[in-house]
Amino acid sequence: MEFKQIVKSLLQFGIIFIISCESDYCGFFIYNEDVNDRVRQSLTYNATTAFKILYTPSEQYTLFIISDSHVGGTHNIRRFLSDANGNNALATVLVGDLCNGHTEEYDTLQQVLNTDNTIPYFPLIGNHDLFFNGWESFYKIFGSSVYYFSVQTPSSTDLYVCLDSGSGTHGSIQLQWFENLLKTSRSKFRHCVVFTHCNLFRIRRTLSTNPNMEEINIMNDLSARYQIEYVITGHDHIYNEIKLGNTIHITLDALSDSAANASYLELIYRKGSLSHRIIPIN
Amino acid sequence: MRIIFIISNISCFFSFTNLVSAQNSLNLSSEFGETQASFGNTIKMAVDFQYDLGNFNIKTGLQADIKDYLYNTLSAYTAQISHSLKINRFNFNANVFYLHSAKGQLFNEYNYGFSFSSLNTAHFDWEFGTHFRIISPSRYGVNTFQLSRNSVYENWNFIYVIKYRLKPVQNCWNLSFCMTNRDLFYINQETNPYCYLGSTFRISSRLSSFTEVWYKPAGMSNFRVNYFGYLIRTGIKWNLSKL
Repeated sequence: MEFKQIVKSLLQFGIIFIISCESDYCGFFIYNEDVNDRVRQSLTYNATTAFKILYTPSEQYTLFIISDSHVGGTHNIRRFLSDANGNNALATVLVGDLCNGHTEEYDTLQQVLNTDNTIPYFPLIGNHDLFFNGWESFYKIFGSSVYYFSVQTPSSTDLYVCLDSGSGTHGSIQLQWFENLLKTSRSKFRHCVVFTHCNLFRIRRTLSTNPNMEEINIMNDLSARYQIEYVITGHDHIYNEIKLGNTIHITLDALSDSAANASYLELIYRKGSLSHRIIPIN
Repeated sequence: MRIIFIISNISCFFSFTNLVSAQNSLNLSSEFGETQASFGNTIKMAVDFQYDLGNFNIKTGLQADIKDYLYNTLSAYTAQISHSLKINRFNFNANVFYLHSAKGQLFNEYNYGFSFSSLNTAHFDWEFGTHFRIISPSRYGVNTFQLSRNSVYENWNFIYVIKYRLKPVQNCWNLSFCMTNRDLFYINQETNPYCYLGSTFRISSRLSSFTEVWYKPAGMSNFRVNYFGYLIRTGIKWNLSKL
């Protein structure tokens, strides 16, 4: 077969694939939504909604954190919420890939969070959450995908930043917002933890991707310069913990019902310092 | 260490130019670009020497920042040794390389790897290999920001270059399209390819110009592709072998 015929066949196949594409594998080629547009929308939302401050009367608190719940199935997320509520967690953080983008999955997730849960929760957006125009559902239910919250104890306050890396990049507007937040406010807080869905470092071979090296270099520089203690991510589905400089980078296990090693993270503040431990679900 | 490396590069260049059998070339380039993570434009200059000695090819290069958010005067240097091989009628190069990259002042990146690449092909160039990356705090990061000496290791990163040249390489002008995750001073993770359109034009028997326009996507393998950035590089290649 001649080279030109091969190229022509591939182009025809590609066009038919893209046009008839029901699955969101089209996102490999087609630029569906821009991270900067989502961030602008989120920052506009933030302008009318105050960032949450969680108050605790004690010098000890715990955040319960998961990633990649991929709701459809709800067994593991219900178990997680039961543990969090039963163990007096101050709040929960859901580090992206909450579902697979379908409206009915978002509805199921919202129902579970409203009925099985009485403590504050902070959702992040992952790449799967953006499938099938999922951003509309995320924004409708949860609002902003870029924000921070703080936890105030009697002695001081800790900063927790939630970032949007659903598109494989945080985007220029979000990175400027993040850098500005650290530059103007980091010194007012005791500890600083960053949550973002896409893990930065490629510790094992998978088909899923991480941010480009230019962006990883920026994140490393900001983490070191502004003393970020933890960067907590998901996306890879397998727990990993590495330390670069003074920053601990944690990649969480997937919590989805089909995950063999489902677990969640407890981030514990006690006696002036942060620590963590993994709690297996199964 | 860096100064020793630079001096040895310059010494090698002057000593090798005197060898009758050597074929040497010097590339000078400048690049201008912007990405979602660059906090504005970046401008860099680079020089690389290439010299052939029989079946061996040695390439060394230096990159300097003119403007970059993570500014470093000497932001990268690299060295590569290639050896041409022949198995049956199949000609190719075996390469080993080292790349040191210093993006900003707080971290250093050490890259080393090996690859196999095409040799004397009419239209298609390719390169496939693997690389190992170590990211470590720099001495400045340790002393100024009290960074602990904890490093990150990324192993067996697949590197690839797939390039199509419109005309044979001897043609006085050429156009090319390339998809790759590596550049002379930069290696991306295997699931993040970039692509570029390139052109070359032979100005004289010893001088040719080249231009590359790079497109950088993000999130492709997450099925959530997003524009990340672009780069325009232009330069000249000076063939020194006919002195």
